[in-house]
Amino acid sequence: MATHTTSRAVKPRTSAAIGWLVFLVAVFTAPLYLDNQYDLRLAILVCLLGGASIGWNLLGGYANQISLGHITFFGIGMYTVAIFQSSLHLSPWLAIPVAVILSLAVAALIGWPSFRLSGHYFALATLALLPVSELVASGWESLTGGARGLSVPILPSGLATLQFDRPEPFFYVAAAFLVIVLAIARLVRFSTLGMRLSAIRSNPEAATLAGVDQFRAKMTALLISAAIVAIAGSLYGAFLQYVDPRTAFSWDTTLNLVLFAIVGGLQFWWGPLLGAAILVPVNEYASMQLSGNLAALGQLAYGVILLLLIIFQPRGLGGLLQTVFQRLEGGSRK
Amino acid sequence: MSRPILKVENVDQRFAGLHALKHVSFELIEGEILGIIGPNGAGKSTLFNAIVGTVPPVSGAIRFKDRDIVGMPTHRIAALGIAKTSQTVQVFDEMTALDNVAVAALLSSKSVAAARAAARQELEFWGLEGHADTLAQDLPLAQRSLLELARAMMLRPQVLLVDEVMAGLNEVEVDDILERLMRVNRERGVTLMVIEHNMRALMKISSRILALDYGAVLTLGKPEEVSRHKQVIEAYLGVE
Repeated sequence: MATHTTSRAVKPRTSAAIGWLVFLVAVFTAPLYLDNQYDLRLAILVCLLGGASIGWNLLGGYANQISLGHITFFGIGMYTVAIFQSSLHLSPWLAIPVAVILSLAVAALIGWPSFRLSGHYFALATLALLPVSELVASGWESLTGGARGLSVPILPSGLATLQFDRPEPFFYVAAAFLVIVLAIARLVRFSTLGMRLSAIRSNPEAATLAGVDQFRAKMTALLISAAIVAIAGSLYGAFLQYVDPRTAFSWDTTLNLVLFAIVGGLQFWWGPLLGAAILVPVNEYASMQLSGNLAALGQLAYGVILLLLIIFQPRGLGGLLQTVFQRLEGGSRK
Repeated sequence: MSRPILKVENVDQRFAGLHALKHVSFELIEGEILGIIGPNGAGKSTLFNAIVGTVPPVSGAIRFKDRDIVGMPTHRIAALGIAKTSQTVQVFDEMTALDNVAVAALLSSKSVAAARAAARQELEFWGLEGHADTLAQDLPLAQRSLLELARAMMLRPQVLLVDEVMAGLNEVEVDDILERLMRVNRERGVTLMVIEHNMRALMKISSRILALDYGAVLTLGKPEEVSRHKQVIEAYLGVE
């Protein structure tokens, strides 16, 4: 659907600021209205997986460079935290920069050759990441505990260990992460880099003719994106207090990162969060409520709903919301 | 002054057995408008793609102000001062007209706001200022063509390659584009190479005309000389 104004021009600055304020209050008071541990656990998952999906979207959505291996950075984060806490007896906060550096190295290794070629080489290269990572994690037993995985020992409760006797404090950590990631995603979206990525997304050949250094723009986006996902994974590892090759490098989670972004809306910086806020609870309730043959039915229904959404609302739910808001604003002016 | 700004030397291009450009050599004189004619498949667009590096030639040299640019990536050639518009209009459909042009302004602007300010001025030159906030996909063909020219000129090039920008436009629109291209040449001092099938248009604006046939240079000269050239008449007009 064609819209004749940019989203920037539609919303005046004040209403955007009010929107942010309402969002922040809603997030940070969540423990008040999510009064059971189960819901709060879901909220933490929304923050961490939503944050990771926002990271994925910097490259996948903004520039249409689809990565099917981003969970590798997530897994690197999980493992680094687990190794730091269980084997090295070091703070998880020290693990985070290490996980980021490792992820940047892997990202550079994938991006360097594949971004020099045009076409789908990047997506293909990222496809190899998960199986290779899983192999390394299962094979390198002395470091990773092999297929059994690693458990983090119980440590004194507190921000220093990222272990708490209640879920609320961890929720605040996850929420702070989410807010920072959202701010970064917005900053990138409206930066010169964001404009270059939009050009690449819209028409790669024209972008090059317009003087855009595609390699540099994609590489920058990939590195920022990998760092965000690595931090999300580190926090997730600290939250689970356990890691094994299958949870760290899970194909399901990879697909979920992509789906959150598609459902929420790829070209909106907040799109993946919207997707995660809807799909994380749906996934959880479906797997809890439906068992046996019904479980398969639930998956099928999930697939059909996604297909319908992609066909009828290719701009995601974010696109739908934008259209509705524009109609409302247009209506109130008349 | 008749200083060459671009020298094409013995350029060859091959695609899977097809010899698309055969030892093409010529000089583009600073400040001129060089028209390029030739039947379909003569290698006109292939020549442009070789110059801007989207499909670099297999051999030969292309010197822009005495610097060989063969093998240089397209975005760097664009930054050096050679811009190109495409045979089929290539714009950023999902972006506004303003942002389409602002992308090219990023080479010289530090911020998005500065790029947009520069782009707004460029849009004015092309008479598109009223469409700044319109998505490129919602513009009619003539304005999409103008938009691509605006984006190319936003690179502040010294040489502009225009590939069949007038195809599909009516006479009024063609005259409008001709007028603006001549202003680009005279007022802004940009050297032009223009591929065009519209002979009336090309004769009107060109200082010289280069005729290509089967990937080789047939002749290069003043429009009236080229239009009387026997082989050009045979090759181009299809006389047997």
